[in-house]
Amino acid sequence: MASVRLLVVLIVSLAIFGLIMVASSSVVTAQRDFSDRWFYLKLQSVWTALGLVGLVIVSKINPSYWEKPAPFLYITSLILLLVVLIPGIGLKLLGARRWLDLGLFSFQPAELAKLSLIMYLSAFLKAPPASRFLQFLVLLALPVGLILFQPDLGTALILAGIGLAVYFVAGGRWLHFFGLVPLAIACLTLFIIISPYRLARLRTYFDSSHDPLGSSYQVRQALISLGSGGLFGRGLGQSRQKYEFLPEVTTDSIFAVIGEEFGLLGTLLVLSAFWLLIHLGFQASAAAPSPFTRNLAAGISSWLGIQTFLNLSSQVALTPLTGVPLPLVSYGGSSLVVLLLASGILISISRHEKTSFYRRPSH
Amino acid sequence: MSRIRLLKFVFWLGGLGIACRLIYWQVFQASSLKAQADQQQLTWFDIPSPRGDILASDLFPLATSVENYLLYIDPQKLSSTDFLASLPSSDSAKARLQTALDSSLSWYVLSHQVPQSVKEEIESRHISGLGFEPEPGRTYPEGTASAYLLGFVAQNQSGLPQGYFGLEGFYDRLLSGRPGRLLQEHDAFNRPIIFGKNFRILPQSGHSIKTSIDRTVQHIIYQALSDGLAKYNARGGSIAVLEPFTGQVLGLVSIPGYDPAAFSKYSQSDYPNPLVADSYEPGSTFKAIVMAAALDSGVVTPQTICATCSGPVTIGDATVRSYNDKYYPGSDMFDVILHSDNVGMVFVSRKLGRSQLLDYIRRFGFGSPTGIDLQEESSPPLRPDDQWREIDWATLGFGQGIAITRLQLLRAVSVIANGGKLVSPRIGSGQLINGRIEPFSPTPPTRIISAKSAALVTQMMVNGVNRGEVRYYKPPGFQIAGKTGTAQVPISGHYDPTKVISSFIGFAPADNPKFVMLVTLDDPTPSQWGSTTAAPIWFSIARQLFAYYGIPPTN
Repeated sequence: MASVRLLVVLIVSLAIFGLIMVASSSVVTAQRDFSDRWFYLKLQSVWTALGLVGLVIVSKINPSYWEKPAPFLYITSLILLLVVLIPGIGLKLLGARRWLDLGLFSFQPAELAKLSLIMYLSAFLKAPPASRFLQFLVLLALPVGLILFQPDLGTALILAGIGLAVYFVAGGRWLHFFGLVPLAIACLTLFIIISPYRLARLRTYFDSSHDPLGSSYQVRQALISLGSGGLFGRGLGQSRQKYEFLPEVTTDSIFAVIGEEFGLLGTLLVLSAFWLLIHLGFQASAAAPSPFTRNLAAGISSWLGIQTFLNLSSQVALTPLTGVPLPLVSYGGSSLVVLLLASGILISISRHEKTSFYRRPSH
Repeated sequence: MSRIRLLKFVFWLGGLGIACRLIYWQVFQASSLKAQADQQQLTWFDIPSPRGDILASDLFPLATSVENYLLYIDPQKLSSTDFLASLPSSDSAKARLQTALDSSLSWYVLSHQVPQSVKEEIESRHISGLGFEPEPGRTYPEGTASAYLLGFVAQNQSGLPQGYFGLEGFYDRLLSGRPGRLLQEHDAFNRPIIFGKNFRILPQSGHSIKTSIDRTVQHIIYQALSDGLAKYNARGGSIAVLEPFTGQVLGLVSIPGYDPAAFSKYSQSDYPNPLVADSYEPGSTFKAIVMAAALDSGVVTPQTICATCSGPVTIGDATVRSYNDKYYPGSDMFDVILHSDNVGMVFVSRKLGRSQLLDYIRRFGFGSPTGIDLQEESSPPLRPDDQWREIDWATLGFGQGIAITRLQLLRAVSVIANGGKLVSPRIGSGQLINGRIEPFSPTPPTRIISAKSAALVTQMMVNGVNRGEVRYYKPPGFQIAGKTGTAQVPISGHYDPTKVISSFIGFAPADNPKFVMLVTLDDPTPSQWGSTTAAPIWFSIARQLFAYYGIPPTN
């Protein structure tokens, strides 16, 4: 049970640390846009509290339970992803329709879609999926396609990655699997070529001297943040790059602020925490009590892994820029709450490891 | 579950890749990225240092700093233009306004150096679309009268105030101090970060300079010169008064001058002080110097009779005549000076010979700058000895064929006045440090002729004043040594018949002089003689100076 406790500690620590970093990174933009330095901190605190309550509840529920509502959640997500595309209902921000305005707050259906896709695929692929390849493709392509329409390439990539990972863990045929990779690359290439800003980001990645103030600006500013943090950082709250040099400072670029304020020490610590979290997630998957829960744990761990990697690799210029938030840390209610719920599921799977049939926990 | 392990390994690899990149950026690239961060986050601002004052000998400021303003407008929002007439330079402002209105700019500087009073007057009219920003300025209470002494302050290429010409130029480093710097952190839009670090290097104030300028003397000579220019219908003129034993400048004026507070309205050729930057041919005033040289070297005594004074002298293919074609055979040296006898001076020059003559000329400081603390001082070069033909060095005896500055002549005559020592003319006498005056260490005078020779020439000059044409202007009862000069102006190899520089140089009281003074006038008309134009001005000033210094007549 040590691993369960470690999992809980890691998740809660990352969420709390995220809250601190949201507070630190958002002061400037919060002051500018809302005349309240702690505006984002207040909102994010509410979401963190809600998410942690949800996490506690979900972690008490037997993970096998989720098999039943999975199709319903999947269908609901697809409907919401459709609704968000309807002008007048979906909020259009920064040129993309990603949010549903629910009056009190806005909601990103794509975040829910990640979890429900994992649940439904896990259920759908609990038997060796050799004969269900085409169905699997359709199930995956529906949410991915809808998200590409928003457009949100980063989330679509995460979704596709999650799908592939679940299919792989569920025992999909190697041939199918390797056939999918070139297909995915072909789709991605097509998608990048038809949208000029993605092409610009890609060209930036290969040639940083191209367009110094346009698409390479964000990457350069992130690197300046990381570099000026050096080994030990400037100290909490001391980032200078957050004074509107770094775009998307509370979401996509929050890791750059971490690097500037806590240096290499901080970034490696955060990286290790994520690495350990994903390691424990896959361990839970390996020891899961059923194929469904095995798929579920692998899916959630892959989600954490892929999204973390995409965010961090963009920030360190290892891959071209994809604007995705850092799981559990970045600002954003929908993402945080759904991730905490997913983490709750991961904890419950970890608690129901096969071995636990023989050595029941004392509580 | 080897598949799960494989997947885990893929993520582990990804994590490893990120860790390597982090180490690369945060360790190996850290210093270069930190430099980029500083470059975009930090700005150095110059904090101007208060410029020191230039003070007269009574510590009254001749130049002092004030807070002026620059006036900018937003041409799109300007509601009225009737404030233009109040501006110090309204014509150029009008022209600039037209340019601004034709443009699409929203910030345009209309006028610099607007005084506080004008700013307040314009502000009281509540005109929209204009504003003021502080701009350090310089004010010169004595105005044009002291322009050639002081120079002016303008912005240099880096936008900092810098002194040009005169004392402002010469003592610029002392006066300007060291500007401070302010390091400010700012955001991506250059707005300062309120809670950011502010690193400040305080400016070091410039020191004030005390000068030997006596405002009373300065006022007397300025008044006398402007009156004299009107009276003798001269184009311009210069007067300088020195303390002969120390070389301290008591007063120095030139007309036409310029207004140092509005220097930009004048031509650049108006800026240099004619007393130290313009060269001229001294003419007869130079006779005193050559005579001093001849007496000191012993080639003549006062009683030596001029052997060639009965008529014009021919040297090579040139003939030297006296100015009025009158000749005095049997003249002694007193007579040569009294009659300002060109032929007599050729006799003296020839007695000295080329090398001895030129040697003395150099000893008297000609051919080298006096070292006065005016930035624009220049010294016309003296040709090497072997380039002087006989006609050249023979006519040198009466001040032709040599270019000098007025101050060089004044310094040379100071030698006669003070008993034989070459002084270094100086205006600045000390700097004010923490309210205390720290005197500059003066260059000690060096003896170049004997006291006896100096006394003899002084006697000749006194004789010249007492018995010459100028005796009518001389205040009775005072011993005054002086020499007139009427110099022609050489233009490309010959003399310009329309141009003349009339001068009078002298010192008083002759036995223990309080001052040595030169008056020069450019092109007085119709009378162009030094004896009838410059000399009366000189004596009228001398009369006032005797009263001011409380010097009683001796008999």
